[in-house]
Amino acid sequence: MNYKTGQKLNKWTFLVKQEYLVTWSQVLNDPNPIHLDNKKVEELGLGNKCINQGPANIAYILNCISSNFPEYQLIKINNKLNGNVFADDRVTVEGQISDIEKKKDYLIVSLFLDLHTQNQNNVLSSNAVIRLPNR
Amino acid sequence: MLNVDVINHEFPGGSLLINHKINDLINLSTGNNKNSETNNIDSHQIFSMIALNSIGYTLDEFFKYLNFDVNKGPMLGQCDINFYNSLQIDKKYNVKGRIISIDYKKSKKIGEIDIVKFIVEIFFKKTKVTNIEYTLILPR
Repeated sequence: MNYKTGQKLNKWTFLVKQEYLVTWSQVLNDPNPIHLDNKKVEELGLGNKCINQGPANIAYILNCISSNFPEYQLIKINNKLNGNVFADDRVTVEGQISDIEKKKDYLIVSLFLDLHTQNQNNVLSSNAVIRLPNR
Repeated sequence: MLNVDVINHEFPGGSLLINHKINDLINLSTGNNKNSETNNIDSHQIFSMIALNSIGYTLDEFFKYLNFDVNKGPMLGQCDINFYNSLQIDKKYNVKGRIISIDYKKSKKIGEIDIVKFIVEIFFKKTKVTNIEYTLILPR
């Protein structure tokens, strides 16, 4: 596979349902009411729907990487959350290759990824470094 | 006010076992099409963050330890993850961690906040698999 710096990744998109927020609260044993109680979100002035868990947003970034590079091995990923994803939001992850380092048997590929929703740009920005087989 | 004496506090630690069922649940809830097949031993790598449930405190206990009221709506601000190996299904990992810093800031967007940084490390036997540095935003 030929990769190029600046090459865009295929978009990855997903509809976030409230039931998934419930799953994440259970898995993390997370007591934060903003994931389960939209009245609490309103009371805090953060919106009118429940707020998705930050790790779930980062999972969407990883899913975009995985769908574009099925044989990837993650080396590192830095994530900055600039906003919130809400229940019923449609998230879209876009990205591009920012650098490629060729080694003898593998490639080290740097990626920039951005998650946005139908209402907010740049909810989450991530820089990832992955290893790929060099075939 | 947060309990600033907790800086450098080490979490009690715990263990994390990722089975097929929980891996499939996370795949489903995040729209990942990969079901855990018998020949695919890698789990969803977001379990690096789910390991937060295995630090030896529940999140509720963690926030109480910080003297923070969880009803104020804590938020994740930043998260940096290094992987030295992939997380795999049916392996038992050890989870450790410690609080690095607590800083006060006045945010234009959300008012007065405390920024808590802590690190979580995941080991298989004695070999480090991942380390994660969290930055939490805690409204005052």
